[in-house]
Amino acid sequence: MPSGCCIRGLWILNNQDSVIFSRKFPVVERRWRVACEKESDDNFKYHLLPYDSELASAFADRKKREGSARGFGIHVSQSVKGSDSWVDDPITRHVISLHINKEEKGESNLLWPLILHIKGPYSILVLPLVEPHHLKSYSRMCNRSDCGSAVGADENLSSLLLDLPSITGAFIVAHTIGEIIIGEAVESEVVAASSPSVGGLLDSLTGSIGISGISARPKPVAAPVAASTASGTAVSGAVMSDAPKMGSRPLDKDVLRSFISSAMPFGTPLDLSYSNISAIKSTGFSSADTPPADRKQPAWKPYLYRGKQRILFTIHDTVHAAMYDRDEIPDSITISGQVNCRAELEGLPDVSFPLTGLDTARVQSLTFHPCAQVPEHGGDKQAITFSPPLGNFVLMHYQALCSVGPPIKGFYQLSMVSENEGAFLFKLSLMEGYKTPLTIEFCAVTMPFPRRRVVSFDGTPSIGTVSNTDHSVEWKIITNTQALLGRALRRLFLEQLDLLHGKLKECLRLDQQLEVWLMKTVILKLSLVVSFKMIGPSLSGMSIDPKSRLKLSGFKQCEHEVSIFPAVKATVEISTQVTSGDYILWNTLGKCPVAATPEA
Amino acid sequence: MAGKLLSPTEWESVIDDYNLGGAANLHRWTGGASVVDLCISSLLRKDFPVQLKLNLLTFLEHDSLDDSPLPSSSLSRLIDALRSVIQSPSDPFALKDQFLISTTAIFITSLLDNDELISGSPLRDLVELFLTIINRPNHGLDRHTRGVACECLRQLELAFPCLLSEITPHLWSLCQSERTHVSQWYVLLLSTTILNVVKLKPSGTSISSMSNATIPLIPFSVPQFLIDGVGSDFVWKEKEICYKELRRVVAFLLECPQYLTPFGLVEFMVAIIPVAEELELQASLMRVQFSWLLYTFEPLLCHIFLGIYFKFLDSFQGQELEVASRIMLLSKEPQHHLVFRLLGLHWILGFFALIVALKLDLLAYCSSLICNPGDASGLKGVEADKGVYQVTLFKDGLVSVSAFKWLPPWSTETAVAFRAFHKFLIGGSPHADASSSSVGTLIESDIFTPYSLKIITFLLPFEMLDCLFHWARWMRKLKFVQLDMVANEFVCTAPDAILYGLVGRCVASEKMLVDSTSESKGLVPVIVACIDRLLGCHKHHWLGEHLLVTLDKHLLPELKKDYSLGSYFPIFERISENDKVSPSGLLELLMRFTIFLVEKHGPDTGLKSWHHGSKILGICRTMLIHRRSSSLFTGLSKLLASTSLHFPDLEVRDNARFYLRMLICVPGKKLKHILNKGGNLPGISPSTHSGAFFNLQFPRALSDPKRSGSIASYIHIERVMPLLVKQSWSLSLPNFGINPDKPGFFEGIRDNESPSDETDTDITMSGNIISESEMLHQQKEPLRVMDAKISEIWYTETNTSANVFDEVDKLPAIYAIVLKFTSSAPYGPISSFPIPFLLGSPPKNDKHVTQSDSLAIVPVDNGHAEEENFKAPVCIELEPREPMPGLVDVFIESNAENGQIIRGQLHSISVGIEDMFLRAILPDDLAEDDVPSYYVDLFNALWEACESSSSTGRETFVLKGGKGVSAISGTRSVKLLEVPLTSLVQAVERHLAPFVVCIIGEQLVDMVKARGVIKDILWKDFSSDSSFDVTCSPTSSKGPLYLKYLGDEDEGGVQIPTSKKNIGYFQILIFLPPRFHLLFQMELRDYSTLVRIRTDHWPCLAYVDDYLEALFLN
Repeated sequence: MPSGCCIRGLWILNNQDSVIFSRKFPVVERRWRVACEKESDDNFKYHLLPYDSELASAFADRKKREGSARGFGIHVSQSVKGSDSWVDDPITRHVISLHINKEEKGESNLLWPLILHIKGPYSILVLPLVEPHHLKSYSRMCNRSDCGSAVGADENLSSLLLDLPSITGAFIVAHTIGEIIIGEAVESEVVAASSPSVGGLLDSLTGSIGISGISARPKPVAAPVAASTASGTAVSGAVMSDAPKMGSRPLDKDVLRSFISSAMPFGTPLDLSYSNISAIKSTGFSSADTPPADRKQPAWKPYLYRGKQRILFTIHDTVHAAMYDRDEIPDSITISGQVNCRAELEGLPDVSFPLTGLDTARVQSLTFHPCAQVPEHGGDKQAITFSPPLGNFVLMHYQALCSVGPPIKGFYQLSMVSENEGAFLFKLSLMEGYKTPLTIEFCAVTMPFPRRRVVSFDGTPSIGTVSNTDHSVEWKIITNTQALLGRALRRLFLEQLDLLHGKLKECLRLDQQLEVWLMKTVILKLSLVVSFKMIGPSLSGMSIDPKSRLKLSGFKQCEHEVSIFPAVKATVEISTQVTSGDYILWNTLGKCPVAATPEA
Repeated sequence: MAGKLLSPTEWESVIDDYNLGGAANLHRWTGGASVVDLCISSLLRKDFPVQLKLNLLTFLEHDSLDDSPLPSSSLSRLIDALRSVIQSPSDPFALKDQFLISTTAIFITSLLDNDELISGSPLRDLVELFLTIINRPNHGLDRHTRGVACECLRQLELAFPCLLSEITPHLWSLCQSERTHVSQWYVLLLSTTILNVVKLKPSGTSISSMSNATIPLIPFSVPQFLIDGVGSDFVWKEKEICYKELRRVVAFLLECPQYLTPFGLVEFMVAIIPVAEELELQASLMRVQFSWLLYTFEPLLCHIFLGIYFKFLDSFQGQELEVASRIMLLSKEPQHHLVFRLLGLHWILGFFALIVALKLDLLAYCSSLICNPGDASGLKGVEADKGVYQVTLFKDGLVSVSAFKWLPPWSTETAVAFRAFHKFLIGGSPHADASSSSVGTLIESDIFTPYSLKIITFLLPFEMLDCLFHWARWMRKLKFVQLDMVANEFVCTAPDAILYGLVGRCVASEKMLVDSTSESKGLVPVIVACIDRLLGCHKHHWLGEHLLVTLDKHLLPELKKDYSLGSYFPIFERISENDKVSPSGLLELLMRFTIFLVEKHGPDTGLKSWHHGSKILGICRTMLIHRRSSSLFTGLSKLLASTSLHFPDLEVRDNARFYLRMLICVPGKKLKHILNKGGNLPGISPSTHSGAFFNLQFPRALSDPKRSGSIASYIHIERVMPLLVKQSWSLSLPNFGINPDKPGFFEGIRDNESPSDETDTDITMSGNIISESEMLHQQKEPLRVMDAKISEIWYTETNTSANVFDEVDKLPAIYAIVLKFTSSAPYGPISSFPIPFLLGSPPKNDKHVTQSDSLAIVPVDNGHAEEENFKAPVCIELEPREPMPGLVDVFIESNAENGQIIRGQLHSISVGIEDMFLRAILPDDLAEDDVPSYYVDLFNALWEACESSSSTGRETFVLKGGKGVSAISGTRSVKLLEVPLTSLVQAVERHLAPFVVCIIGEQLVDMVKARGVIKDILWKDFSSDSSFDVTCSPTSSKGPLYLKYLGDEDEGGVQIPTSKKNIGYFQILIFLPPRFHLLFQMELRDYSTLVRIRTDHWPCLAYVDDYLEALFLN
């Protein structure tokens, strides 16, 4: 305890259930074999890892048995003894087992735990190394003959999962691979004042060369960059656009292969940072890349920045809201957010800054990048110190309640005046009671009708435009940012009540009786989905003050402003943006889901 | 090296083949040569693309898994190749790195399987190569390759523990000096080496000091103790190495985690924790060093922290709350992928399981966290009353979901809610708990029973049990694991407190239940599935039963007695099946429902009434099957009685009477047997989610078992003449009758064996109807048909039930029987056959009653004394469109004495080819005397016409009535029958007498004439028709050729002269409706007969063959 994380093998299947990529790690497999031989008995012995064809057919079998690739997850009437859903736990949709049938021997070989990660058209299966007794334990669980396991009482999956960091690690491996094959291995966005978004790691690498003009680097600059975009971004971009066609283009196995051999050469993952690995692969090192004299270079920072120094922060709030407009149900508004950072600083400096707005009543959780030194919890302000990695990174995540009122308030009413005709009304007030000026980049409201088709629609918005597609009506309240920059318009939006009302004619899809029944029942719970993006102070109250003169008692040096040690002159840019997450207005006249809030 | 060099494309195919099906596929490529050698030579070629070389290396790694260990020579070659690649300035680093890795992997798998190789030079060479590479700290260009080499060494050290133990001091100094990003790899290598040293404590003085290296790094030699025998000879010498120095190394290492990647940190922890334990480092140091892991957003690091936490539980004392709340929050953080949030919940659950033993109090804390995470003020009140918070939570969860009524019952939410409910219920008595005493006390407990079973009444109005989070549907899975926790806490803490809270809720929830009954009916199948699951479990059977009791007690009185009640029938079925639940409540409900149905009945509701009535009867039937009748008697008989009297639908009324009669008259055991005969019980639909389609399924389910299945076993229809061919190929249907009269005759899948006859009608040609008779053979068992009289007696004299049972033996009558026929064979429409009435027979001891009643009975004495059979003849008229056998399905419809309608299917009747045999139709103007000669002429004409060579074959004949023309195209066939003469003649007389048109041969004529069965035909001598012998009987005994052939040596001895003699001929002419003919000319000898067959309808030959065999050989 704790055991490490090793991978015996991994497979990638396409949506036709055939294996398109597989990798086995003989060193880890060897370890498994030794462990098995030690604990083998009549029911348990070592089996070779399946070949691709065997695995594919086992996966297809499971899919057939469990109804879908993921399966039922919980014990339902179709569940079969020995299958995953027999275990009756939702996590079996992600940690699956396969029964490999060896044709010639006629014996079945249980393969568990297989991490299943579905990304685009691909199913990624990763098999981490566990100990034989874990496998035996799971085998007992999915073959139990009674009506199901009680929580916490018997041999259960939870203690197995707690005991096995390799499963957690395998998930991370699977997710990373998923991002690579789909091409989503992008760095988090950091907004700078000069340009809407700054680039990633490669930009800092190449940018540094350009600006500082160091000619010591022997290799030409352009070539590696072009090569890396060709191998990484271009390919992944193509995969992404092809994704709806379900993988008509094969994934780039060479990219994946080289990533795997760098990230987990022997099946033991050591570094899963795709941007670092691809930078090392494409750029390599030159004799100019000298290590710092006084301290060790962290493994997650293979290159050091050289060039003009600056540090950028972006505080990004995502607002989730459920508005009911009812007396008995309180509205619920939560904010989840993150602070993205990009530190273009030479050497290996420590950065510290004061973070304000950490009132514990509002901020529920606060988690940090491993590079940060975590301050003691408590208090409204905290000093964060971190040693930044290269490129864009997420410095911290937080969850909080809204410090001010909801940015968009209102109600939505829809009632059916006949079988297929409805009247609706919604009223929104934007940023009511907001003192600080915020710029709204866009704001739109969507009325989705997932099960019905909108035939015609008639409504008058007080502002903006309304259009409809087959399954939704969309009201674009604000589309043009430029138009809103004037103060007058901003005032308008601070105060104005916007109103859209109209009639809606829908077409019933008369497929089946069932469908009609469903629609009759479902129609009244429809909701309004609001999406928007704002630039301005964060709603969570989270803020970094670049030049604050506040003096705090507990700390002496670093609280005043963003400070860098060893001290350098660097510009600090901080931006804030607020976007909508699940921002839903429930139909006041219909039914809505709600959870009770705990009584005080 | 036998094989040729493979080209790049060939290699790609090799690798693909291998991945798909393993090494077995490789032979055709390699031609027996060593795969490794082939690979090595390809790897060294300059013209091969790098990408392919990388693939080859991976392929080699894969291959080493299932190939036998490589010999030392191959390994040496591999190292040579590796060296040349590493030293080559042109090869890219990617290839060098991969070559290092693959070589190490191959070495590890090969050497582990072959101990002798450890001491050999390849391993030493390999390690030396690696050491050379890593021994250049801070060197710029190849820094990543140095990292890879470190990892290779680490893997070797892991595979051969203490391999590097003697050079640990060097590793440490390298580790200290390395400052580039690959320092992580040096750190990991060092920590792994130290772990092995500390764990295994190899003997030897060489590693006594960490700071002073006594052995040079290079040349490397494998430690002696490894060569002597891995693992076995380690000497455990305490304090052999200098622990103080080791502590310094560990202190150095403990400063490193900040520089490691998350996964690097995992490996680091694996190595460092046992070392820290061994060195007895202060646990608080670990806490200081690693607490930050909990506050990163990397799930893996959190998990690692948990590992440390449990390892050093003591030093983390007081942090339980913090840890639990952090993991709890992990599951709530939206930036994580769902999986990690699920994992977080599982960790919490596992966490609880581990902690519970240590610190029960924590539960209370955690529960409050779930309620209100982060709210510190919530903690204060908790300690006073642990249970209350959980109660509130569960309660709130239930209240929250009351708004989710619109979710369909088959939604995941519902399924998961019931899963939580199930877990909650069984949580009190896990399967592993062997003692049943706790269960017993739980059942007996006054509190628990009403409480736990009330839960279901909670759930009824809730179509979803989604708590702790709101509206975010996509998080659904997450939420339900949290429910697990809630349930977990419920059962872990004192039940009293929970009960206290929940019982209070029940009052309010019942109102809700009543209000929403009609809306929650969709949930019924889910509830039923839940109950079934519990009932199916050995341990929790009692819970299922108690749920049923609760439903019986609390749900039934609340249900509205209107048409919506129909949805609840699956629950009723379960209640009616279960002996533990008193049937009275259900019966009363059904009674009231019946009254409702009767009152509501109108012209529009006819179908509904019938539908619901049938369902009610289904329940009654289930009760009859599953329960002792004594417990039911009063209630059920009342229900059935009033149904049979008042119910608007005739069929329901009849069935109710039927059941009532059974309830009263049949002893329980026999009754269950009778009812079970029908197979599946009506009303229990296997699919629990098809509520919307019940309307369609029910009628069929009800009609099937009761009628068709059982009526056929009481009323038989049989042929008067059994078919000669017991089963012909066209009749191989599974549906056959079992004749109780002649059980001995029944063998295998054979057809009916009662005498039969048929009527064939040919409208197109003659319009003539010849009918013969077939018997409807009805056999009745007394109780099959309800007797209204008896019912009445029972109603009026309930006290004299003893008499009633006596009188049951009286047989009922059935009236207005109509038999309907259908067939899939090519026959025309078959008209139905009415039988006015039919009375049951008396039992033997009650003869006088029968005699007076059985006027219309056609009694046929079949010799079975204990079973009286009553028969009526039935005649089926067929209008074949083609002469072929077939199967006629028979349906009966009838009234019983009391007006009850009986419907059903009887066993089918088979029709054979012989049923098609008719005499040829005579012209109207033919005199009676001329008939025999007309037949003979017709026979001869047809005989000639059916000869395929004949010219008549191509002539056409106008059909009678001018309705068409027909050409004769004949076919010939022969059949040799090895039967004695007399039996042949007898068979012909019995079955073919009407069709014989001519007999030739004095001896035969004499014989047949004397028997007197065949009359009115032409009798001929051989001499009277000389041409006959020549043309038609080339094999007759008189023919010279015939003698010659028989004179062959083979047969001459066997044949007895008399048997060779031709005795005579039968000429038989059969008309096959609608317009075909079948001609036989039988050439008789003493022991064999040759039948020459000609017909103008060749398909009939298939049946004729069987027929003849059956006719003569049987």
